[in-house]
Amino acid sequence: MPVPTPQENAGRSGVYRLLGRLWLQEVDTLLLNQLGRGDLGAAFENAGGVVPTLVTGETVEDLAVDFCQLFLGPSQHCPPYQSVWETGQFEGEAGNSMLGFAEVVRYDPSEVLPGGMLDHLGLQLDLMGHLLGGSIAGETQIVEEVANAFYSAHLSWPEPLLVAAQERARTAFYRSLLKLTGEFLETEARS
Amino acid sequence: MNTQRRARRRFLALGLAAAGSGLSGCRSQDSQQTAEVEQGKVEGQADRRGIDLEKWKRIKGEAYELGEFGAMPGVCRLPGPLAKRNWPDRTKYQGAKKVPGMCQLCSTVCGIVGYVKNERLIKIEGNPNDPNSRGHLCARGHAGLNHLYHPERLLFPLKRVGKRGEGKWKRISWDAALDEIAVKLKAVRESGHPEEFAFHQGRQRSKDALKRFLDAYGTKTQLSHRALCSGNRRAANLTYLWESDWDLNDVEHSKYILNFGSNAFEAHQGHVPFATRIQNGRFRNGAKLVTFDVRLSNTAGASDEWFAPFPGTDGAIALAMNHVILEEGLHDERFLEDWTNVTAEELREQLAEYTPEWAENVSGVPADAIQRIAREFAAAAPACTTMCNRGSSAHINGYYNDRAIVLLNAIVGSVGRKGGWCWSPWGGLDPVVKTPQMPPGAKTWSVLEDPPEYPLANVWRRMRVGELVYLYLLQGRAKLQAYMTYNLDSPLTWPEESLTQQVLTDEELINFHVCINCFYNETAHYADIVLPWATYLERWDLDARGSYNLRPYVGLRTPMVKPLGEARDVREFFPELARRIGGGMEEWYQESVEEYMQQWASAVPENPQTGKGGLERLLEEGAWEEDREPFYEPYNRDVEPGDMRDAEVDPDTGVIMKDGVGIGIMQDGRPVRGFKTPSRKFEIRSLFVQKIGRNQDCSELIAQSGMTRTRNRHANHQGHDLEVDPMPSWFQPQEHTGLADDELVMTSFKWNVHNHGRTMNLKWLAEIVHSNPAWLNPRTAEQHGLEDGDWIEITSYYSAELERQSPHLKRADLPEEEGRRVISTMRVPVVIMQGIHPQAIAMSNSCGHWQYTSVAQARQRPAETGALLGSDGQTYRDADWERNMWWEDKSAGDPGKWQRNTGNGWNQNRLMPIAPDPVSGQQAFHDTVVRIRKLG
Repeated sequence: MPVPTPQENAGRSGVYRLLGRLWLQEVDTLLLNQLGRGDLGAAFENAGGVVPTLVTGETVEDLAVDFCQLFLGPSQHCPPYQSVWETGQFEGEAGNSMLGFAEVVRYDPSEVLPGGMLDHLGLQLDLMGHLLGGSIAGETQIVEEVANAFYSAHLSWPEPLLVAAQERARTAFYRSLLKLTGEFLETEARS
Repeated sequence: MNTQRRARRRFLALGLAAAGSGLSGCRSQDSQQTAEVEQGKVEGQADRRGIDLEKWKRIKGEAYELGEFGAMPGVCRLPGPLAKRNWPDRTKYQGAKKVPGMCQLCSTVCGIVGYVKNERLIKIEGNPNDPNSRGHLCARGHAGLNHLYHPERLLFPLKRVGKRGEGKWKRISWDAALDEIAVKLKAVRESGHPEEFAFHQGRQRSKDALKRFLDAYGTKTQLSHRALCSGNRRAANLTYLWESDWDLNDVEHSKYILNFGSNAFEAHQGHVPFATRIQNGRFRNGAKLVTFDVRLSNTAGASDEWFAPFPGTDGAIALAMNHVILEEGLHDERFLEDWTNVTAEELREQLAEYTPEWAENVSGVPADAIQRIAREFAAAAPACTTMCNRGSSAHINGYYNDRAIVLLNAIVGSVGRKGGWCWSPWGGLDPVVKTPQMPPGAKTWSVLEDPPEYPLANVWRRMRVGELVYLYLLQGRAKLQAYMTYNLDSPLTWPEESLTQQVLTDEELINFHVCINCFYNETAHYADIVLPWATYLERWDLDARGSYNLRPYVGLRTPMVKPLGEARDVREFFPELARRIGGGMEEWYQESVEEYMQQWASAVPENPQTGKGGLERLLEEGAWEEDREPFYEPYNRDVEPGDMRDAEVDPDTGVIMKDGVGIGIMQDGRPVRGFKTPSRKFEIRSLFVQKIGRNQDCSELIAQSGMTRTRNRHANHQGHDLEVDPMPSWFQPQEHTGLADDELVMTSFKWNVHNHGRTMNLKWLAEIVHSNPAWLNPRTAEQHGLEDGDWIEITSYYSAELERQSPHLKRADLPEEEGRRVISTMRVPVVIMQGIHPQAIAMSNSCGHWQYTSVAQARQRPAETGALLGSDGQTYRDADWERNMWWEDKSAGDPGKWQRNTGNGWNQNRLMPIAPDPVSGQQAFHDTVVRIRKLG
C-alpha cells in the first residue's frame, strides 16, 4: 500500500482535527459561521456537512441540546467512549492503550480534554490529526505504521455508536456530522 | 472505486480548508504554536512533534491479522472480544494497588478494598480490617464497579432548557452552575427566610459536610428519609433508653433470637455484619432463630421456625408473649425491680388483656405456639434477644409494635447483657473522632422539617417526616424558594408517586431545584440544574455504623480513583458555593479537603507495628476500632468518684443530679450510671411520651435524663396534641378489621441484591432481580380464579384509621369509592406461592424505574444496530450488553405477550398512600388495603 504524501497527510490531519473538535465540544456561533462560509463552508458542504442557514443564539442552543442528548446524556444517550461500546462500561483497557499511543506521538490529552477519559472519540480523532499533521522529514513510513496501528486499535470501533446516534440525532447538523465521521473513517480504512 | 476516490478527495479538501482556516483542532492556538515550534520559539516544546521511536518499539508488539485490514502491528492487547481470549487473566491483579474504602451501595457501609491498576478500579472485595463487616461483602458491594464505570453516569453539570420534566438539557460549566445557584441561594438568604431553602437528602454518609454547609448558610430545613425507614423503631428504643435509637442485638452470643419481621439476611441496616453474626450465633453458639413475617423472606426461610402473622400484628404477639412470661413467673424479677420503672404487678395488670388467645385472634398465630416460644425465649435468658425492623415498624401502629417487642427483653432481663438486647451510645463516629469545628446550628423553623402533628419525630433526634413534604407544599403549608436534592429518588421510593411528580413539576411550588446525583434519576428529571456527584469510590468520608462489637470504630472512605468526567463531591464544591454566596459562609471553608480529613482523623492513634496514626493509618488499614470492653450492662457501671463531688441524690428516687443534670442513680447504696432516662431506669412507663404528646413542658424530665440535646416540642406545635400511651399497648388499624373477601393488605420488601432505589441500574444486580410480580397465596389465588402468571389490577385505598387520626392529610382531589379515597390502580402479573399470608399481597420495591439509565429500565438501547451508509452494521457490537441483557420486555405493555421474568417491574409505591404513624411519622408501608381483580 502506498505511503500517503505529506499533502495528503495534511488534509487527513485537518479532517481528523476538525472532527475531533466537533465531537469534543458543542459548537459556538463563531465556529458555525466558519463552517457555513467561504472555502471551508464549501468544503464542509461538499463533504456532506450541513450547517444551519441562519445562525442565531437559538440555533446554537438547539445544537447544544442535541449534542447533550446525543453524547452527554442525561439518559439514553450514546457516550462517545470506546470502552462503552466494547465492554459496556467506562474505563476499559482502551484508556491505557490510548495513553501508550499519546506518549509515542508526544500528544498531551490534558490540553484537549482536561481530566477527561482518554478513549473519547473526539480525543482519538484529534490524536490522529496530531500524528498525521506533525510528521517531520524522514518519519513518513513510521508515521504511517503508527497511524495504521492507532486506527485499528482506536478508530475502527465507532460504527455502532454512529448508527445508534444517527437514530437519535434531532438536528441536520449532527446527523451530518455522524454520517461524515462514518464515511471519513471508512475511506481511511480503505485507503 | 471512483466513488471512494471522489469521497477521499472531498475529505482531503475539507481537511486542507479546515487547516487553512486555523479551525482544525481543539486548541485555538494550534497552528500558530506549530509554526513557533518549528521555528524553535517555544522553549521546551521542541520535542512535542515526531514519534518516540524507543517507546514505539517497546509497545508495538507483534503484528497480527485484522480481517479485511490485513496485517496490523500489535500495540497493546486490544479490549473487547480479543481480551476474552485471555480469560481467566491470571496476571489481572498483578501489581494492583489495594486501596481501602467503604461501600455505600446500601446503608450498612461495609469496609472494602479496591484493586487499582493503571488508575482503574478493577475489583472490589471486603476489608478484613473493618471490625463490623470483618471482610465480608455482599453482591451489591461487588457490583460497585458497575456503579463507578456505568456508561450512563452523569459526567457534566446540566441545565434545563425546556419545560421542567420535559427532559431537555444542555451542558454548562461548573463555574456557570455554581454562579447561578449562588445567586439564587444568596437571594433566598437575604430575603430573611433562609428556611425557604430546603436541602433534601436520600441516603447520605457525609453528615458533617452537609451540616457545615447548611448551618453556615443558616437553614435548618434539612429533610431526610428517616421516616420512610426506621422512625418507629428508633422512637420505641428512645422511649426506653433515650441515649440510643439503635438496638444492636448481640446475636453472636445469643441462644435465642426472636425476629419480628426483619429481613436481616437481605436488607437490614446492619445487613452483612448482623447477618454473619446471626449465623455465627446459630452455628457456633447453638442459637435458635424464630421469625414472624407476613412473607417468607430469605431470613424467614433460613430460620428454625417461621410464622406468618396477619400484617401489623407483631406487637400483639409480643405482648401476648410478655403476658405468658409474667403469668408463668418466667420473668426476671430482679431486673424489673432494680432497672425498670414499673413493678411486675403493674405490668401484669397492664398486660392482662393481651392473652395468647387474643393474639391468635388478631394475628392468626396459634396461641400454643405463642406460649411455647415465650417459654423458650425466657429459658434462654439472658442470652436472648428480639430483633425487628421495617417489618414491624412500618405500620400505622408501628411505634406500639416495636415498644411491645422491645419489652420482651426487659421482662426476661436480657437488656444490655451478653447475648442479649444491646445498644451503643455512640452515634456513628463519636467518640473516637471529633468533627473539626462546625458553624453554630441554624435557628430557623419549617413545617417541612418539623411537622407539628408528630410528637416524637424530632424531640430526641431529628427524624422528620419526609413523606409529608410534597403534600404540605401542595397544601400551601410551606413555601420553597430553592430546593436542593442529594442522592434522592423521591418519585420512585416515596408514597403517592403522582403527587410527588405533580409537586416537583410545579415551578410555583418549587421555584428552583438543583439535583446532586451520580445518575439521572426520577428526581433529576424534575430539576433545573443537575450536578454530577462523585461516587463513593471517588470521594472522602470518615464513616461508621452501629458497631456489632459494641465498641466504637471508624472507617475511611477515600478516592480510590479520580472522579470520572467532571463529577465532584459536595466536599469539593460546597466551599466554592459558600465563597460565592459569601456573607461569612466562606469562613467555614479554610482548608483543603485532605487537610480537613487529616484534622478529622487526627485522634486515630498510632499503630505501634507500622508507626502510622491518624489519616495515614486509615489510608493504609481502612478502619480502626477502639480497644475497650464491649458496651455490656452500661447501667451497672460506677459513677466516677470525681463526678460524685457536689452531686445531689434525690432521697425518693435515688437519681443523682449534678449542676441540675442527671448523672446516675443509687443502686444498693452504690452510685451507678443507670439508664439515661429521667428515672435513670429502663422506662417501661414513659411519662415523657405522654407529656410531650400533650405539648406539656418536659424540661425537668430532660434534665434528669442528662440527655441535654433532647428538647421540648417547638412552640408551633401547640394545638397539635396527641395521646401517646405511657405504657406498652397495641391497637389494630381500623381498616384491618373485617377485611372483605376481595381485600388484601399490601406489603413490600427488598431483595438481597438491591437497595430501595439506587441499584437497579447496576447490570450485574439487575440481571439477578429486575422484576417484581405480586406474590399471592394459593388460597387467595384460587378464590380469585388466578393462576401463576395471570395479570391482576390492584386498586389501593387510603387508610380509614388515618382518616380518623390525621385529618390534615386529606386530599380532596382523590376519587372516592364506597366512601374510601382511591390512591391508584396498577396492573401486574402474579406469582403464586405458599410463602405469603393469605390476606396479604407482596411486591418488592426497587423496580419500575422510568428514568435512571437503560439498565434500570431493562432497555437494550443504545446498542441497537442498523445500516450506516457504506459500512457493515454487523461488524461492531457491544458484545457484553447484547449477549447478557436478556430480560428486555418486548410485549409493549400487552399482558398477553408478556414473558415471565422480563422487563423492569413496577413501582409499588405508586399504590402507597402517604401514611405516617401518628406518633413518630414513620411511613406505614405495610398497611395499605387493596382490592384485586383478575384481568383478561
